[in-house]
Amino acid sequence: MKTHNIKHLYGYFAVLVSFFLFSSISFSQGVSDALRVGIDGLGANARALGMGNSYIGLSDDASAAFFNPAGFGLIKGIEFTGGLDYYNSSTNTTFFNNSSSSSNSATRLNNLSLVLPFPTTRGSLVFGISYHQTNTLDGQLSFSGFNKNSSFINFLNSPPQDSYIPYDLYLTDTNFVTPLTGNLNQSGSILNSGAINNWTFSGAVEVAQNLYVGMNLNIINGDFKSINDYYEDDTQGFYSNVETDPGNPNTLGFQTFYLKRVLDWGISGWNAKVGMLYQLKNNARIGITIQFPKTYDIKEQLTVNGHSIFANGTRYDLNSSYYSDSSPVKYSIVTPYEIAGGFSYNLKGLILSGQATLIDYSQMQFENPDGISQQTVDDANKSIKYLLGPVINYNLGAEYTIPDMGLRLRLGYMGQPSPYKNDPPEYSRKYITGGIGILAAKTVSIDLGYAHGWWKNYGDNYGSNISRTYQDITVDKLILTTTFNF
Amino acid sequence: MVHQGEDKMKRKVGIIKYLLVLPVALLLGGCYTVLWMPNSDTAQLPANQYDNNGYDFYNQDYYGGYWSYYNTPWWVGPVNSYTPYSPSEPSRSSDVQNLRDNTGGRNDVGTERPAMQSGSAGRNSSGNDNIGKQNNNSNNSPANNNSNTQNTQTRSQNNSGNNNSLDNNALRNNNGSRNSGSGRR
Repeated sequence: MKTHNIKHLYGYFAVLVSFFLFSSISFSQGVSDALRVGIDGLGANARALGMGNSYIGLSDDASAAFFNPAGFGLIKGIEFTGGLDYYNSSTNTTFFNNSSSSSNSATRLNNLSLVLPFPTTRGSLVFGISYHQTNTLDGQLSFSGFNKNSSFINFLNSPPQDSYIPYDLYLTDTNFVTPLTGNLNQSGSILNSGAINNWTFSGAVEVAQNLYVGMNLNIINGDFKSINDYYEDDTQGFYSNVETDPGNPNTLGFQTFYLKRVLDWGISGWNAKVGMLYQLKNNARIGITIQFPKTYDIKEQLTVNGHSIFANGTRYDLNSSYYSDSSPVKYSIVTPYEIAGGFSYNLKGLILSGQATLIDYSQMQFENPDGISQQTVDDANKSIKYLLGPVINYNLGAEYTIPDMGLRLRLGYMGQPSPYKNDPPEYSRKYITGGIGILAAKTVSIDLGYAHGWWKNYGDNYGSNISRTYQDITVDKLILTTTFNF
Repeated sequence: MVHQGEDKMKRKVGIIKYLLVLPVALLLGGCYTVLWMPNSDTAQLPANQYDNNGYDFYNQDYYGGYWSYYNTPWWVGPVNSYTPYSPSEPSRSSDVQNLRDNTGGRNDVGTERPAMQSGSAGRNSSGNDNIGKQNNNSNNSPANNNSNTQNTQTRSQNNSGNNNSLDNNALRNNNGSRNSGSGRR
C-alpha cells in the first residue's frame, strides 16, 4: 500500500471510509487486559491480609463475603466493619541497559460491611451486605534508552499496523516511506490507576451441626485508566541533515516524536460464589469454595494525541479525532472458575491456616464485542489459550494471641504463580504479610494488616522483543479494619 | 455474535442452577438450623431456647474477658457480664502439705515410707503436683519537550477515513504490558 501513488491512495481512502462505516472497527485486545481483571487482588480485610489471605478455613467475620461466604454462619453477633487501605507500587525498569524507577500510590476506602445473624433456636442463619475492594489496578512504569535497531515510528508505518500517524506527523514522505528506522532514544512513562469493587450480598446457614454452607452474589463496579506517554528523540543527531518529508524544509532535522494514549475503562459485572465450612471439634476447620466465572463488562474509551518536532521548531500535531474512539467500545472479559480449599487449626492459641486455589487462566475469554470485530475477539481468545495455563495459588498464615495483652500477632505468605505457561519462578507474585489486632473494647476490634509483594515482568512498547522493558515490581499494601460488634 | 450471546446465557443459567440447587437440596434433606419465628403472644427473642451445642474454635485468650460475649448469639442474653480472665493465674489448692516443713532442705525421696522390699528405691515425687498448675483452657523523561513550537500544523485533513481504523491496532492497550499476539516467540 505504501508504494501506491498518493492520488490513488485517496481513492482508496474513500473505499476505506465506507468500509469502516458499515463494519466492525478492528483493534487489538490483549492478554494483559484479561489478566488485569483476572488475577486476584489482595482483598480488603486486615486480619486476613496479615495471615497471608489464608482465610477460606477461617472466614468468621465480614470478610467472608470475599473469602468464603459459608463463614458468615459462624458469626453470632451483629457486626459492622469499615476500613481503608494504602497501596504503593514501585517498578524498577531496565531498558537497553538503562535503569529507571517510579512509583504510584493510592489511598481508598476499601470496606463497608454489615452482618446480621437471624435469631434461631438451633443452628445459624446469617446474611450480610458488603461493599469492598477486591483488586487494585494501580501501577506505573518509566523507561529511557537508546534503541539502535528499531523505532515505533517505523513500526507504526509498517504492516500490519499501516498507521497514518507517521504520515500525519510528516515523518514519512508522500509514499509512506520513513527514514526513522532506529538510532533514536526511546523514553516514556505509563501511569495506571483504578480499582475493582464489589457490592456483595451473602447468606450462610448451618445445614448440619458444625457444617455451614454459604453463597454470595457480587455486583462488580470499578474503573481503570492508563496514561501512556511515549517519546522518540534523535538525541545523537542521526537525522539532523535528513528531511523526513523530502522537499519540505520544515521536516529537516527530526527531533521528537510524541504519542500519548489514554485508555479509560468503566468496569461493571457480576459473579457468584458458593462455599462450605466445617468445624472439626474445637480446634480445626476446613473450607471449600467455588468461585463462578466473573463477567466483567468493559466500556472502553481510547484517546490518542501526538506530535512531531523538527529542528527549526516546527511542530505537527495529530488530529486526535482520527485515532481516538468516537464512541466507547464495549466487550466482556470472563474469568475462569476458581476452586479453593483451606484449613485452619488452633493449637493452644496459635492459629495456623493454609489454602490452595486452582485457576486455569487459559479458560479466560473475551466475549460480546460491540464496536470491535468478532475476529479480533477470536484472535485474542486464541492468544489466551496459547499463552496462559493453569496455576495453583497458595496461602499460608499464622496468628498468635499474647494472653496477657490480648494482642494478636499475624504472619503470612502467599504465592501466585505467573499465568504465562513458560514463565520462570521469579515471575510469580510473592507476598509476605504481617499484622496486629486488638480487641480495643468489648465491642470494638482494630486490625492492621500489611503485605509486601515482589515479582518480575516484562513488557513491549511495540512488536515483540524489539523495544522491551524488564520490570522488577514491588508493592506494599496496608489495610486498617475496624469492626463493631453489637 | 449470536453464538457468544448464547454461550453467555447458558453460563448464566448454569450458575443460577447451581445457586438454586443448593437451597432446594437443603429443603428436601432437612436443615439443622431452626429459625426462630416470632410468637404473637410473646414476641420475645428466644433467649432461653437457643441450643448451643456447637464447637468453639477460639480459646478464651482470644477474646480476653469477652469470650462469652462473642460466643453467644446476640439474641441470647444477657451476656453483658464481664469476667476478667487471667490465663496465667494458677488454680488454688487447699492442700498445704507441700508447704509444710519447707525449710530449704532437701526433699528427700523415700522418707515418707520405707522402701519396698522388692523393686528399686525410686523417687517419690508425689504431693507436689499442685504447685504451678495452670488453668488449662486450651481447648477452647520524557526528553525534548520543545516549547519553542512554531508552525503547528496538521497533515492530511482529508484523511477522514481513518477514524477508528486499523491504525488503532498498535495503539490500544499498549500500556507496557505484553503484546500478546506476538509476544512470546
